[in-house]
Amino acid sequence: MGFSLVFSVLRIINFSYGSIFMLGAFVGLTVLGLVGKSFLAAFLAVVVVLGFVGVLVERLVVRPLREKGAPPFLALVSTLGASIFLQAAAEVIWGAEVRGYPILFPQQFYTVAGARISFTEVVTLLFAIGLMVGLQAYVKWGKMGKAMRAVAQDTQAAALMGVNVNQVITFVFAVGSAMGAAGGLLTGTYYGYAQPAMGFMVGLKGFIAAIVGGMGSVAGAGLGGFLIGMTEALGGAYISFDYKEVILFSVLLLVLLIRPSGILGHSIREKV
Amino acid sequence: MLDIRDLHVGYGSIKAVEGISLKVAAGEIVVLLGSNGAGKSTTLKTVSGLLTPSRGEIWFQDERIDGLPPHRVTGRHIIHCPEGRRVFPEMTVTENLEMGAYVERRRSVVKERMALVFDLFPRLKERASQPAGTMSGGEQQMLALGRALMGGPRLLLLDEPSLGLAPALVESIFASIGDISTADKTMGILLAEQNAAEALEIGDRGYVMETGRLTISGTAEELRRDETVQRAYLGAAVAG
Amino acid sequence: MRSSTGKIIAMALIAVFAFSLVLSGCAKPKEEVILGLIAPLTGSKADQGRQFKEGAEAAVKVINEEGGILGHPVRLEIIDDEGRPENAANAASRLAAMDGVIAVVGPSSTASVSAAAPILQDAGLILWSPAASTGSLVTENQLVYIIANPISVYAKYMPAYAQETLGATKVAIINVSDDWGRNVTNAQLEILDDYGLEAVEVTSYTQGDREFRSQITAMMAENPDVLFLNCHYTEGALITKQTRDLGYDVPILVQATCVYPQFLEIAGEQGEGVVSFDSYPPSDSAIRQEKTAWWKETFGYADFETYHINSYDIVMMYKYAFEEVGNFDDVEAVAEVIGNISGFQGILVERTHDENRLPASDVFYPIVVRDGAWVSLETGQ
Ligand SMILES: Nc1ncnc2c1ncn2[C@@H]1O[C@H](COP(=O)(O)OP(=O)(O)OP(=O)(O)O)[C@@H](O)[C@H]1O
Ligand SMILES: [Mg+2]
Repeated sequence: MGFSLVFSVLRIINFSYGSIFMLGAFVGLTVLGLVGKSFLAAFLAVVVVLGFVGVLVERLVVRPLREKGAPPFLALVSTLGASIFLQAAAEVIWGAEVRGYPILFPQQFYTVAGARISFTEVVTLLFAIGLMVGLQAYVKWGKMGKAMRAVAQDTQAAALMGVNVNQVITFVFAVGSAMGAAGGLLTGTYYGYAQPAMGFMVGLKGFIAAIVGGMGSVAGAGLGGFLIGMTEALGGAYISFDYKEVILFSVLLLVLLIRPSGILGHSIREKV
Repeated sequence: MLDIRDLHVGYGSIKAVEGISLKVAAGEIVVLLGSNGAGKSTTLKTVSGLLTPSRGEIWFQDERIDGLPPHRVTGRHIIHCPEGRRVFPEMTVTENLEMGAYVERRRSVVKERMALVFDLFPRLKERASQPAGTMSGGEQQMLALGRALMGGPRLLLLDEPSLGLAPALVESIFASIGDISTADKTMGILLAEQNAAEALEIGDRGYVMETGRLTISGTAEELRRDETVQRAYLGAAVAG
Repeated sequence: MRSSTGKIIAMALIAVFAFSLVLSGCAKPKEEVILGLIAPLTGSKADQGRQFKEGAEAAVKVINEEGGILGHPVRLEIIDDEGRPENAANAASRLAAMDGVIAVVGPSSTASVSAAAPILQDAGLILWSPAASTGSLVTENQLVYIIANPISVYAKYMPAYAQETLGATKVAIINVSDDWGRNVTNAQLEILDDYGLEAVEVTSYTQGDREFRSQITAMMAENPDVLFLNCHYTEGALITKQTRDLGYDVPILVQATCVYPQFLEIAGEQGEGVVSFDSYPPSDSAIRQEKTAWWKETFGYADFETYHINSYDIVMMYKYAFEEVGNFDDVEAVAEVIGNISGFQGILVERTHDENRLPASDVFYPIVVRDGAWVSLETGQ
């Protein structure tokens, strides 16, 4: 999601996203330890703190490259560096081991059409959907959202409309990071853990989701994420859980072979 | 209102504009003639802040504006309608027009301006919810002009609005530009063109630019009668 | 004259002879013998190595106070292998080249034992690891022993408990897909029948996986009465947590690999009631507490843990075996005595070897998570 947002606006692949996701889980855990079991407090803190970290990443490792006119793929390298740095920092602060999450929601269960659903699942799912729909709506109708799309489609023309391009890009990083971090918090709540290494696979999967769904399409990234989840769960259940990653990457390869621009993507134009 | 003084602009070591000075007053249409690579676009981009000059000054309404970032220049209602239209292809016509009024906070003003634009280009109204990228070149140029008008320009910078359009369309676009100018006598227009015949038709004054320098200047009438201009631009235009 | 001279010489000879008899027979102490100890004193397993050392030192102290082994005082030659197999092999070579070494305690892991065993075997030295638990080390090497229960022994704990205490009939097993996880699961599957159990679902995961909800859902669809988790502590804790989060209160049994504080920290409230198994009376049992107090008082060590116990008993059983045989030279005979050990009273439990010379025991001690701590199931109830 956040991944695709940043890509769509800047045509750069932001690899720090995975680490920001992980930091979301840890900052959430720490806040929960400080203020007690308030999901909302943790959510707000995570969004604010990691939104700010996202801005720092943009200012420190992305903008200098952009201002020097470096090719966008270099940002892939520099954000990967930032990602590794953030993960190492997390290991220093929280240790490299898995940390358990407290129980945040009442342990209640419902049976819907024969499947059991827990309250936690309902809340995390609704929250995730809410965030996704909210982001999508904002990008579609919000003023800043429109500016983002304008910058994405034609940066110079957007500047001529009076869009402060740097501000929009900073904002994109802030929102993208806040979304990613919220994802980390939700994952921590849902699976009950946080670990510095947890971001790596997520970063990679976010990248895949964005590719599978179609680069630069927020809806596509959502769809891609859903397909990844399904592939893993079904591949795991029907073939082997040991090979779920192998299956996932095979599907990625297949999609790229059949539709290089992703399922909802249109071909990426080189901008003049 | 616009006063360019001894402007020099380059791309790295390439010098594109080498010491030009020109003025645009409120209510006039000033034509900047020049063939490919003369430096017209570079000049306009420098005024709108996309490029920073290496030397010289740009003044707008007694304020120095060179070196300001583009969004600050746009904030002063200097609206640059770029070469090649540059509409936002995945946005609808309405969204494109809304982007044109990005700095305008008052919704009522945005509405008024959009109504004016739709009056000027009824075609855009028909296509209001169509993605801009799927429209024809002429429609896109109308949209680009309309979008520029949405910013409530005091100074309008038009870069080759006739580029790539069929002659009939060219005529109607220039007619619209003339209308825009007549409608608002406080607005200045700087029009960069290769199509000298049509441009000088609506223009009040003009300059001829060659490899980064201004070689000839005068009223539209004087330029039309100038031999060099006739040979280099009008002749070519007629023959073409 | 001649006869008196002869007498004097004769008497002098007798005196010298007698004196030398006195010297050799009474006053001169027997020479010291050496027990080699290869332990991970530094590195990630330093805590284990410290226990090896402290346990062995305590036993040697007791032995020397009681007159040594076959009257020979015992000295420990301690070598740090940092827990690395190549260092264990080096240590083995050094001990093999040293005079007076009678046997070796250590090293720690299966890999280190595999590296050291051939070298010591060539030198005619017995190796006895206080920590390795791989049965094939013993069955494949004439002079190797282990003291930790091998998989064949502890694979019985869960099925036995599931049948006797839980009255379960259907089990679901999830294991880490490494050698250990697969071996434990296979050993369990082989004996499930004996305990009237049926495996309704067996699934595995890759070490490092964190998200098990779909596997748990698949397992629980088979309605097992109990879950066996053949996992390391991180994944064990997460599987427990996610099972509870999904609303299943099925009994969960975990291997001793989960009996760590980290398991409790990660599993949190949802870890309550999880059962595991100890081969020794747990630290809150009366017998263990009594022995712990004695241990501290006698030797001054602050704690009394698994590898203290193992190391101590190994040294004591070496003494027993050498004294049974009566010399230090007949290694084969000593090995045979050790292989046949039965009902040897160790510091905390009796030691018996089965027909494969492996530790044999049907006794185990269930422990449970209660109020965020591992406690004896008996005393905790
Ligand atoms: N981005 C750039 N980098 C380097 N040189 C450039 C760049 N843009 C323009 N130039 C050079 O600057 C000079 C002036 O170009 P400019 O685009 O201003 O000309 P123009 O008068 O607008 O021409 P046209 O009629 O083709 O639009 C040309 O020689 C051109 O090659
Ligand atoms: Mg140009």
